[in-house]
Amino acid sequence: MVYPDMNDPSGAGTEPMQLERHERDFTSFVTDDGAKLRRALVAAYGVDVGTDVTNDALAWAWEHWDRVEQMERPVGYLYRVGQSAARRHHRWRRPMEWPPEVFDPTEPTDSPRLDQALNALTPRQRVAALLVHGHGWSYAEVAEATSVSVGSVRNDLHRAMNRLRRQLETS
Amino acid sequence: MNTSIEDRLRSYAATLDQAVEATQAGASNLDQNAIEALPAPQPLRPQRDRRLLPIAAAAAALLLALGAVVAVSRHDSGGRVTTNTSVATQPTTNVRPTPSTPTPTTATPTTIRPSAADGLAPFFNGAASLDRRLQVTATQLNGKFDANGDAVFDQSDVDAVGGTDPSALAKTIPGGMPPQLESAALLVWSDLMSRYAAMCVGVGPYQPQTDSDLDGCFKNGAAAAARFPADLASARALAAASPPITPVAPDSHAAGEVAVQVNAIVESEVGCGGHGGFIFSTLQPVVWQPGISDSQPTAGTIGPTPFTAHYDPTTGWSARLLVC
Repeated sequence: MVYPDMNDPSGAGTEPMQLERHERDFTSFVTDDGAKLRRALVAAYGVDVGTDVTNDALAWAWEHWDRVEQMERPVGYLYRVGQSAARRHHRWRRPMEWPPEVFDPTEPTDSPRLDQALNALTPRQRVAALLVHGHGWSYAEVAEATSVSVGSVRNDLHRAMNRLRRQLETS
Repeated sequence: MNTSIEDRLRSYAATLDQAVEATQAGASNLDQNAIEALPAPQPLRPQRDRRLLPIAAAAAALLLALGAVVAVSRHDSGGRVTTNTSVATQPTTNVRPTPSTPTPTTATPTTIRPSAADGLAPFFNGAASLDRRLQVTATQLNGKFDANGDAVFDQSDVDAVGGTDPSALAKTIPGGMPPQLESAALLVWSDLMSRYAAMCVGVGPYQPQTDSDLDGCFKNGAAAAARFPADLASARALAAASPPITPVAPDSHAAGEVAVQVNAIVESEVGCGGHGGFIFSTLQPVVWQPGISDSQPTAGTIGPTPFTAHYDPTTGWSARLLVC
């Protein structure tokens, strides 16, 4: 007998096939767009909270996959879902965690740290700086992933870089 | 500093990616990779090359993202970050058209419906519990290694490893599941078995340089430890999205197939002198044949391998593959 349960007496024969298709599509989505979403939310909220709210957003996507797969900008939508989830962490006063910057050993050890400077930015400024200069995204990609306009991304990045320069280039 | 802010942002983005990977891999990964980080003996087989571990970690990260469709208990990595090379993937460049999409007003999934997760809850909970015991035991064993990769184990170590035997947990895997879900559950169990099998501890000194029989065993659990959280989360997600499991008779072949599949994993992990390192991938077809004798009432083949199986009303099915 080979996998006798494939002949499901409940008659739900099409359901596993549909589930399989959903899972395949969802896996593909997670591979491409899920990685972008994670980077955007981690840039906004730090490693721990950012990872958690990405998982929350992807869980929401799985539960509402019929809707999500029809969306033209699913990452931007799920970024908003992640933002909603992040408010819960904010209410819990859960701190944002940023790994320490790894310095070049030839650099002076008392240099201002990038992670501390990033922490002082607003989430939108931080997202713009990290995604554009850190991960090499275009303004349009950042705008789509975070559900804002390209002009907002440009402004956020300009302000972020000005603040970072003030803090980091004083030495 | 001589480095521009843009360069520092680029470097820090890679650090963030590493930290996310570490968070997703979880504490168990870090524990058993500590063993891996020691001067370890050469692997028995090329596919267990240590250079593959970053790839396994990346795969685990991807799987965890998929597995995130259900609430998963967080593994606190303590924010530990390494400065080793990372698997930093570049963002994809495909950009979708950008017409407006309505902003969600609420994002609270509340649907609760019967699913296969109900029937698998004892297994999932037991697996999570055993994962924690394996982490504790791995930490205990890690502490026994010196800088040269040598260790001396005592009876408490042997007892600790004995307490992580996943054999009993396999009995909680229900029969009659769809193949995809059965595969997911068996993958979770295989991760645990791989980690258990890799802890080749006996009372006395462990000398990897001279004891060829133990060659490579400890680090064989690292890959399974790294992927376990993702595999468990993925199985939970699949179960939650699957219809309830139709109960099967305890003495049915559908129930017996789980024992056969489990035994096939056991043989892959510890059979023929193995010490873990096998990662379950696909179900092998089970074909039952008429019984041979009273003591071996049923037999068959799993893939190309013959097996015998026996049902006991008290202990359930037991199976034995005829290998080695």
